[in-house]
Amino acid sequence: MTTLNKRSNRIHKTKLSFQYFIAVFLVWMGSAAMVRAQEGPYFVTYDQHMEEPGNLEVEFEPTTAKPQGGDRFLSGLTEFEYGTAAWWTTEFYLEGQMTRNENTIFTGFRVENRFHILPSVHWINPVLYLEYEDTAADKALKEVVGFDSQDDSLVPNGIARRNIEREVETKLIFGSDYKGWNISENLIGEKNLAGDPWEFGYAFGVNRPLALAASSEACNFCRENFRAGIEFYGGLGTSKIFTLNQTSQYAAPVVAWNLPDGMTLRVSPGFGLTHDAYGFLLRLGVSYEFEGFGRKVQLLFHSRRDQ
Amino acid sequence: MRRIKSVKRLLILIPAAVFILTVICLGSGGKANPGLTAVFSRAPKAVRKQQNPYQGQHEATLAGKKLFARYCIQCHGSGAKGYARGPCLRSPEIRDEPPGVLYWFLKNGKPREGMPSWSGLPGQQRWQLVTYLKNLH
Repeated sequence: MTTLNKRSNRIHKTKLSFQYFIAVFLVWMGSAAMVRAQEGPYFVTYDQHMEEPGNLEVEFEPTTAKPQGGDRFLSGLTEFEYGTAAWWTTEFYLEGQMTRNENTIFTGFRVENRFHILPSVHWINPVLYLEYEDTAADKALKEVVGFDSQDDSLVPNGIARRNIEREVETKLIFGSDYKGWNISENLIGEKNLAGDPWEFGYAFGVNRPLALAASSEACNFCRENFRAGIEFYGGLGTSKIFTLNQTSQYAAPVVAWNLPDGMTLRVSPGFGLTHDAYGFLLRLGVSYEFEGFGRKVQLLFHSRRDQ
Repeated sequence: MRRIKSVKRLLILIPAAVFILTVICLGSGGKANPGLTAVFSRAPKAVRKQQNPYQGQHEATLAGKKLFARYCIQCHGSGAKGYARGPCLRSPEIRDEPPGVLYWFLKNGKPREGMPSWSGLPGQQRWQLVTYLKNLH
């Protein structure tokens, strides 16, 4: 009984110290000024724009869908995106999901880096993307590759979470800006480190702000604060069978609302175009950008040289 | 079982630690601009002749001021007076350069030296920023 009490006390203390840590972290982050950056509305497609150097963007991205013959799920993806340099962005994701009539689980993490290949802006701007992911029972649908299908989510969480997927993902991102329009194309190659063949996919998106010129007054609902567009994404088979047959293909309108206080809200209803795709999926995104985050972290560890 | 759990925890903690260390080690997010004159001298000749469609428009100056507060103030400081990461923009270089050169520089940036490319902003908004910068003096 005494051992149980001690254990419960220890758990309670650990919970309290964790809550304390989170509270301190949030207050400290809140002291960094929030800014608005050039946030695009895409959920799957990457454009050529990097995170502003020294800024941290924190985003929560829930996605919900219901597979045919299965239960609805809600996946949550928390993203920490940091502008290491103007040509280099690094990101860390934590993922989880809950499925109706099943438990809520943590499904894994991913780390990614994006690098501008060319030093200056061209008509088409290539960006190299490298990612490592360690997930199980993942339903975030952050990308669609190979023969990904809605049937994958029919496997109960209890079984699916035993199958840990350690994968390396590469993307070649091409992005162009023309008269306010952003046009982005991604070629995706994903390799399961367990030895499966390479899986391929693509994403393509176009978007534009609702007004090209800014208004002279501060406002939340100005048309220039909204961006709208559409993205298409899907699988292209594997290195053994490169095909569109039995792949999932989606078309998804996207809308982003950039608020002047640093928050961006995004929404995207996605429509499955093939039998293997989910009929409908809904993505939401809420993000905050913290200006000068890197500088604040650095000051914690170094003397104030610049002050 | 406990050992597997510790290995799992390590697999999450190591990439998280790498991410945090990247932030700490490269926290400044790029170097300061080395010299505006040198950068502007690389602008193509064609852009020197470009005219600012908003030149002299008070509304555009106000819009540019708003855009500056959103995108530029964090590096160049309040009133464009300069800050640790970005130079003062109330300088003869900004005043004397043709508007097309400033527009070109905003579009291209100098990513290797800390100035991001603002090609994601529509051209109209970049011109509004140029209008504001030209009216700083």
